[in-house]
Amino acid sequence: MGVTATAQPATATVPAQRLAVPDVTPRPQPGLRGVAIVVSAVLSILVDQTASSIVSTGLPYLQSVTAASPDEASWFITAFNAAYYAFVLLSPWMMARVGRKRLLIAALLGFSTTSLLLAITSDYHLFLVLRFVQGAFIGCVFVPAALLFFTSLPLRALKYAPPAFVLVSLSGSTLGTVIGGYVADAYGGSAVFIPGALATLATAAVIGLAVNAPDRPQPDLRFDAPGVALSIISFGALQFLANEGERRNWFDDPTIVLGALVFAVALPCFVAYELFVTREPHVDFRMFAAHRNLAVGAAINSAIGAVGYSVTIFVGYLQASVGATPTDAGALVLVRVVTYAVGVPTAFFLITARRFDIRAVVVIGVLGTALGLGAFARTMTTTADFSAFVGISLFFGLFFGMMNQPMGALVIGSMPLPLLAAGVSIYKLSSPIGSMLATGGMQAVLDHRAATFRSAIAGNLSLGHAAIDRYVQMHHGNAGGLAALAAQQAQTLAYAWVMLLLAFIVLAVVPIVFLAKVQKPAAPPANV
Amino acid sequence: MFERIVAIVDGTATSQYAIGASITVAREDADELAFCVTIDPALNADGLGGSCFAAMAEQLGRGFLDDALARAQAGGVSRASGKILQDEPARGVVAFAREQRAGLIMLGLEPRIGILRPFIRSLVGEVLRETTIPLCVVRRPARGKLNRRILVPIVDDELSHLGVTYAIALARGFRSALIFCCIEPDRDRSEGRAALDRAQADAAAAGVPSTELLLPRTTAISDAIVHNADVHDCDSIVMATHMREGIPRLVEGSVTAAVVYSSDVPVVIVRAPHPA
Repeated sequence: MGVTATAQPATATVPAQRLAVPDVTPRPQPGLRGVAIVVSAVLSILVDQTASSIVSTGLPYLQSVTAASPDEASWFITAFNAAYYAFVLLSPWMMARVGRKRLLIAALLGFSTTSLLLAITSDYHLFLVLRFVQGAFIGCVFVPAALLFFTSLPLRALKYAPPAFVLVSLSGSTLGTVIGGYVADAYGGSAVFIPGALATLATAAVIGLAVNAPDRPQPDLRFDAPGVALSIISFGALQFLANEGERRNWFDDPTIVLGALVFAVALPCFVAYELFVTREPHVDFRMFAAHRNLAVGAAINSAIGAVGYSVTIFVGYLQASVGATPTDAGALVLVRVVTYAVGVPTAFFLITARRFDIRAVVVIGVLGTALGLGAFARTMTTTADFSAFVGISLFFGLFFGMMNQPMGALVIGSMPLPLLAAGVSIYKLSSPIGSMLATGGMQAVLDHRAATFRSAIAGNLSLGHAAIDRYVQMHHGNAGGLAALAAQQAQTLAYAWVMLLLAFIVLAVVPIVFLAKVQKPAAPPANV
Repeated sequence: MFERIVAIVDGTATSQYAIGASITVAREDADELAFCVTIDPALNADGLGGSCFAAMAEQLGRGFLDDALARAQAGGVSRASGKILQDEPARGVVAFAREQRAGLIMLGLEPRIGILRPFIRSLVGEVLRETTIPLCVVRRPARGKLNRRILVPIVDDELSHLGVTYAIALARGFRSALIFCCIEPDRDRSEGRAALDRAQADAAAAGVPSTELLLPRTTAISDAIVHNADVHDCDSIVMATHMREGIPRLVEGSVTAAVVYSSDVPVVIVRAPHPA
């Protein structure tokens, strides 16, 4: 490892490209040092997974700290995520360029510093710049942390690497909502940045002390500045559309038209530039063609990311219809993590014990997840209470965990070792891309369904109904409360409707998984 | 004596001790040494073909084998080889040992919390379940030579006889001295005396020097064995085992397992063949 590979040109007119290959030599460490390295790698992954969720949850507080309008506050998320996603894609190149340990420590310390600065900043423009820098730093954490985790495991633990990694990633993203809810609830304002800053500071210290493997930087690699710029613009435009599309009534607003245009131009330019123009791309898009399972896994992971929008729907419902605080809603979401810890190992056992084909396990997971989402939809009423969702959350977590487990093997595991870092970055990115698409689309659907239900309910509210007549008489002709009840009922029905829609969307995974290239499991080779 | 020794290598600290012990024995006995690393086929069980984790495991395995072979060469063992086995650890090692016609399998023992031991299968147990090839279990770095003085715990039964016979053969091969050790049985003290006399007579007949220890039953048997191996400066312990399974293992426990997990010197375990 620690060398660069030259990709074969697709046609005679395309120049030979030089792709960065980071060092992925396994270096397990014995004893406490090994444990410390693995724990710090897991912590880094968790910090990465929670960072964006925390700020999303605390956005209303940050809006008041910086005296920003809703339009301006939306840029806090766009600026962060544009840099974050672009740097996740860039991080395999960065690892090869500066070395794993240096990159990880610099990124963690950078994130910590910008977080602390954000905690004391109230100027809107400075805040925005710091958010962008913060996103760039945290974007450089996930891939080296994942590789540190994989390459630090002892031989006998390697087979558990994919399920353990999936479990940590999955739980981390769910934990983000909970921690974000709690921190925003308990402290509010700029304090949302403090836990992440402290956690990254501690993690950087542990990595600095424990990781003793030498870095092998490749200083001759050239920075792909145009490619990175196009990547930032593409992700920024997509995030802007996801955040603001529905809020600004989509193409009625010129900024949305402009955002869509930017995205429609920047993304193809980015892909074309990386494929055909630059000699030193930071993303190898050809690997999707060369490794079919990567493409299949990324597509499924995107669908899973879209299903992740169910958390937003569920939390929105709990707060709007059940009157839950962000902390309570987060706690209920956290229930599913318990059964992730069952679903993921179960899927792993079924596959490794050759009880089921990997595709069959995904299909079982998909069907269970769809049923779980259906059960959520059915139970989401204005009169439901917390306890009604505990069992469903446990059921959902079990099958969602089962559906996710094979993704580690599909997207990461089936790649050749030199492409491990690239595989991890695709694994990391495919889910938020699905989530962004879902955010834009589902928010629009949610609003339209709520409006439709409101009209339908309003159409049925007439004094001809004895109950309505009695209500109006009791309130001396004031129907304001009735309108609010109708609106709440319509919103709840819309939440349930979108949840059901997500159940159907997740079923789309079934045909996709059958595109995966799976060999018939062979009997273990005899050594005698 | 052994002709070929198979040493299991897995990159752990205790596996390093086992490599050291195997080199010492192979050098003294002029044995051929075969190191092996097992890579779990579960790494490729998903049917997705070559996975990067399998490649990583192979890279690690090759590194371990290269280190072990370099140590063997530096330690004066001229005939050493290494092999990566794509199999479950116990099954792969036993098949490899049979293929090599090994006289001894050496492995390092990872520490394990006492209360969990009966419930978690160890590689030692798994290997012993599959073969009667003697197993040398190493938990700590060896102190000097491995076979100068050997402690042999015995009682008056057939299983002990198997251990005694093996220990005598070992001592003859390496010109070692044996210390037969018996904990006084509660029911009949003469049983212990008789067992010791018989063992010493067998050793004398084979021309092996031996002494005896008849210990009162004050502490746990395994503690007494480990303590006396230490006090009498023994280099190893030879024991025979029933390899009980299931409920009997949970209820009666295993003295051998307790000794293996607490001994600072290598323990050579001989398994009685299962009744036909």
